[in-house]
Order: sequence, then C-alpha cells, then structure tokens
Amino acid sequence: MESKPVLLSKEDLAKYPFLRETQEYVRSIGLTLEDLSDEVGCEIVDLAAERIRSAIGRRVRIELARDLDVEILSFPVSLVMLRFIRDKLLTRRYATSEGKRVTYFLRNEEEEKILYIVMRSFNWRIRRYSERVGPFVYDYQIYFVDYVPYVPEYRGMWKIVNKPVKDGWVPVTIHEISRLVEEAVKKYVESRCLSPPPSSAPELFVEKVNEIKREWEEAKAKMELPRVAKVDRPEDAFPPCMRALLEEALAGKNLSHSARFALASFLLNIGKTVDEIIEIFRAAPDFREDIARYQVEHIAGLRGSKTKYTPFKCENMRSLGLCRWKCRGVKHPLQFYRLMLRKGRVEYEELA
Amino acid sequence: MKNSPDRNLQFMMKAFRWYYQRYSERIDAPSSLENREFGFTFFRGKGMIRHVSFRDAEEFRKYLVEKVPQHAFYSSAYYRFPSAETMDEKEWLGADLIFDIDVDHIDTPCKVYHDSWLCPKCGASGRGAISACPHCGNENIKRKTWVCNTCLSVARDEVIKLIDFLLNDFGFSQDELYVTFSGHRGFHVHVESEAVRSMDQDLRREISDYVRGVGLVPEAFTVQASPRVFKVSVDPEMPGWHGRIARYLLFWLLAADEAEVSRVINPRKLRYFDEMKKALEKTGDLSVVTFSRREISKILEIIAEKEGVKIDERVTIDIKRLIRLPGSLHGKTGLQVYKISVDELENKDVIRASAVLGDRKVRVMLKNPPEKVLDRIFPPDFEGVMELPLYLVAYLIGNGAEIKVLDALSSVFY
Repeated sequence: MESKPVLLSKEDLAKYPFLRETQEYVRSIGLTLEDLSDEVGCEIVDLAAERIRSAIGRRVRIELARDLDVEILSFPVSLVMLRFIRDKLLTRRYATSEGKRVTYFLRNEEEEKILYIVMRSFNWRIRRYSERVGPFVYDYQIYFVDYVPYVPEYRGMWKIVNKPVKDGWVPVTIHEISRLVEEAVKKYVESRCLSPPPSSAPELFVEKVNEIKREWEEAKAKMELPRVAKVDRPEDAFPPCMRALLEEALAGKNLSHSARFALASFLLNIGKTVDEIIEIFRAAPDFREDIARYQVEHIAGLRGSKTKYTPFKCENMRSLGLCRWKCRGVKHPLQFYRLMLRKGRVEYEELA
Repeated sequence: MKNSPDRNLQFMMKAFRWYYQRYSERIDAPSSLENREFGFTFFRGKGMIRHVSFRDAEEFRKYLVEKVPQHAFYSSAYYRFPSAETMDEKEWLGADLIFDIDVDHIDTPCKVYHDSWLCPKCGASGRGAISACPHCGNENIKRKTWVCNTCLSVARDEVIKLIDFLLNDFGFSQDELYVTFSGHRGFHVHVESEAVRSMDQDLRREISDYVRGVGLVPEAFTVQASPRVFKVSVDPEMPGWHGRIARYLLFWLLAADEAEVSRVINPRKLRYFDEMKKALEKTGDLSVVTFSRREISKILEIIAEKEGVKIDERVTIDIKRLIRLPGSLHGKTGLQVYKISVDELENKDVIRASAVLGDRKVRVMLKNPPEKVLDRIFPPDFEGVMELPLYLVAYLIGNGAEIKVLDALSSVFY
C-alpha cells in the first residue's frame, strides 16, 4: 500500500523528531555545537536538558516550546548530551519517555497521517485489510518482520501466535500501529546515542551536560538507596526460574545444557565465583570438574571469545521451557534479582 | 566376537574416501560460499577444526577429496571474515533461518525395537527410550540409539507440518526453502532469503514459538459470554492458529471418545457436553461451543502439542550455529546429508536416496544387531555371518554395532 502524501506542518516536525522531514529540516539549518553559545543557543540547550530531566523524573513532556525551531533543535542536542553522559540506563529512560511522547501526540492524529508517518519513517510494509476475524475487527495488515521487533511484550495478544497470520501479514488495528511506533521511536533514539561524543564542545554546553549528569547520579543514588538487606539470603532474591534450577542442580538432577548455561551465567552475574558455581554443579550425574570449570570460565568471559555472558531474558527462558512463571514488570532474571534487592518484593505467579 | 576397531575404522575411512573421490563434483557448495565458516572432524583427529573458509567451489571440493572429513558442517551465518577466530573479528552479516527436527525429541513407536539403554549406576538395562533409570532414578543413562524408516516417517510428518507454517502462515515461497535429511535421526529445514538474513534472535524466537504453538492464550480464540463461560470464536476458514484450532476442535468434538473428552471436560458436565455436540453436528457452527477458562486452556495445550511442530528451538534461535553440510556423509552412519525439495518430501524414500555408499554385498560377522534399522529387519538376538549391502555395513560400524568385516577391504573398495 502506498501511503497518501500528507502535508506536514512545522508543529508536526516538532512532535515527531524521527521523521525524515524533521531530520532534513535540522540539517538545512546546519546548527553546530559552537552555535549553542548565543542566546537562542542557550534556549535550545536548556530545552534539551529539560527533555532529559523529564525522562529522569519519568515524566512525559507533552507541551511544545513557543518557538518551534527551539523545540525541533532541542532533540538532536539532547542526543549529543546523552552521548557525552554515556549512561545506558539514562539513554534507555530517555528513549522510553520520547517514545511515550510520540504515542501521546499520535493519539490525536488522523489515520492517514499516522500511516504516512510510519510508512515513510520506518519503511513498514502495511496494507489495508478491514476484516473481521471472530470478534476482532482489524483495519490493516503489517508484515511480520516489521511487526515483531516493535511489540511492547512478547506475550498475550501481541504475540503473533495469537494473531490470524496469513502469508506473513499480521492483522492490526490503527491503535496497535501507534503502539508499535512507541517501541520504534525508543529503538531509534537508542541507536542514535551509540556513537562516541564529539571531541570538543563549548564550555557552556559541557557545564549543562555535567549538571544533568549530576542530577542523574543523584536520582540513581536515590533509586539505589533502599538497597539494604531486605532479604536474608541471596537465594531469597532469586527469580523463581533460577531458584528452581538451583534446587534441581543441588539435587543432582541432570540439567539440560541451556539450563546449566542459564544458571551459571546468572550466578556469575550476581557475583558468585567460578569455584562456588562448580561446587553447585558437583552433584550433577555427569559431573567432571575439568569440563565444568572450562565451561563456567567460558561463560565468565575468561576463555575463548572473552565475552562475559548474561542469562537468557525471560522470553527466551520461556521458549526454552525453563520458565513457567509470570513476574510483574520483569523482562530479565537479573532484573528480578535487582528489584528484589531494592524493594524486597516482586509479584509473580506460576502459570498453569 | 571381538570387534576390530582399527579395521572397522579403516573400512569407514576407505568408504568415505571412495565417496568423496567419486561424488565431490556433485556436492553443491553452500550459497555465498566465501562468507561461510566451515567446521570438520576427522577419523583419526581429535576435536573439531573450525574457522575454515573457502574462496570458491573448486577449493571447497578439493578439501573434501583430500581431507576426507568424518563430519562436515558449515555456518548458517554469513561473515565478512569467516576464518577469523573470534566472533567479533568474524563480523556477522546475517544468517539463514534453520529448523531442526530430530527423532530424539519425538516419541516414536519403533524405539523399543532399536534403542536401548544402560544405567552405569545400578547396572540396569532395557529397551526403548527413557529419560531416567526406572530402577534407581539416575538420569545419566548410557543410550544406544538407531534410526529406522518408521522414525524417519514420523519426523517427516513434522517437516510437512512445518512447511505448511512456512509457506502459508509466513508466506515464504517454495524456492526459498529446502529440506535435508541430516544423515542420521532427522531433518533440517533451511530458509534462505533476503527477509530472514538480518532477523535477530527475538524475531527467530517468535517464529520458533509460532510453529511450536507456544504462548497461545484463550482470549485470542474465544469471547467471554459471561464471567465463567467462554464462547469459541474461531472457524476453520480463518488463517493461522485460528483456523488450526477450529479444525482441530471440530475433529475433536465430533470424533473424540469419552476418555479423551474427560481429560478436558469436568465429568459432571458430560451431559451438557453431549448436547453441545448435537448442536454442533446439526449446524457445524463452532460458536455453539462454550468452555470454562480452565477447559479452553487445557484444549489449547493439547492442540499446541498435536498441531505444533517439534523442533529443537535452540537451533532456530541461534544465529551462529554450524549445521551439517548437504552432500557430505554423516560420520556415524555413512549416509549422505541429502537435499530434498519440498515436492519430493512426501514420496521420496529418504534412506534409499541417502545410501550413496551403495548396495555392493559385504560379508560380515554380526552379533546382536538392533531388530529394526534403516530399511532392514534383523531376527532377534542374531549372531552369525551375513551378506549385507555396503551402506548398511557402514551404518552398523559407524553407530557402534558388534560387527566384523570378513571380506578383504581391497576387494570391497577397488
């Protein structure tokens, strides 16, 4: 399907910083870091900082600056700031807040415009469908390769296994498309923060960066403050999947290769030593210390590719048959552990 | 009877050399050859030689003829520098989408005729496939596994299911995919297309979950009519799992016997269930069917088990895996890793086609062969001299049967 061309206003460029048109507009202005020292420049830098600040406070900024040029230019400037700060967590949080902001704006847009925006910016393959499948009415189909990477979660109604997929086309509503945009914007923002920062920047700009950095450090410290012993033993903070694997390993059950990998990488990442982990596997029916040591050291990044591995994320644990739980707000076993240490409690239920 | 390990090894080496010398011209090099990594093991070697790469098909074939590998693998991934030693240096460019269907993961009726196990802990032994020793519970069992045409036809049915998913649900075209018999206990399905190359692990996992039927939820296939009643909302014409579930439900509701039904339905509701069945018989409309949430979850589980494909999901999710090289011989069986087109799949005799070592008769002394192996049946507890086709001798030797070749090797391989 060809999307109908839609005339974009300057306000649109301000709302949707990932648009090709916005990027072209920014390029045409030809702003450099050196330009940021004058009065308008300061305004841009302040707004860029404000954007990041609202992300730190988990607020979604829905207002637009009166001067739309300032609004538009504040986005690329905020990305440069994040490249200076180089903090993955902050970048992710910023990406999330920008994503939510875009979803907020899209909610008030005409369908034609939403389609134009996604098809032109992300090259998604979308076509009209308007059919009923059971009780569900769909407006469009999107090619699964363009759909799957942007679903908010790999379960329930978002999972393609629950969609009437035909020839690779997934039926969706316009609301679902708007929600996919949120994830796409997140990924877009993160991808634009990967490169190292420019070698130099004006003093005023650097000061602003340091100011934000300090605020972020404070916010992080506050987040981590209650990291006192809310649990008596580290095992109490384990997610249910790892607790089950640990119990099975200690009981001398014959764990699959993936299960061993998951448990060993988890334990390494929460600070257990190679020797401690080998002791845990000692009960395994086919235990051989030399092989166990080689493999655990490999996972620890002491051998071979020198990559330190992390355990599978929850979706992969589930696909590998190692997870039969649903943990609230948790996407990775290590996240569960950290949340437990911080809050002392994570809700989860065992699925039938 | 005493095996002669060295003589048996020599037999295998000669057989493999004979094959590669005659047939290497017919072995197709994988697509984008210069971007693939190869790995080999050798009859007298230890471990795998990895990070091998070839500039062109000629160099590739020459290697096979000169080195005569016992096992040959290539990467489903494409690399800029396939012979570099670390993943970072290799520079991953993309990967084909691979599915592995292996009878090890499927319950087949024939395993009792050819598989056996021994518990090293308590000394118990028996036939068939088990996961733990029935006497002492030990899970570290020594297994002896063989393959026969029954296993392969069960695995083939899984491949046919998978192909349906790939063509109809995912819209791949037939010429983007091909199937290989792995030369041992299963099949590989390769999808080579621009659309799959750059897929990340998340996308591959979702495809894997889809074909396995992992993650089906009741609310996608029913509507809640009242707090406890869920009305079926799928019909057989619908695409995807919706149609599969509808077709299975129709079959199940109309044909299932009481025992099967009471696995799902609360026995107290059986009378109500019969009424529902009658209404369904009259109208053929599934929307007269209602379940409780627990029932529909249970049914989805059963449908996923029956209609989902039994693949090894790790292979599909992995984007840096070595996979058996089509056209090479499997080192444990002497059977060819045989490429089959989708059209051939249903009718091709896979064992005949992959028995490329041929039927030349070889005299052997044999003790206790499995009762059913490849396309052959042996009498129980057989011990004695027999004339067997060469391909079968190679398989028996490769997979560790008690066997001794009586003919002079020079007369077998001339």
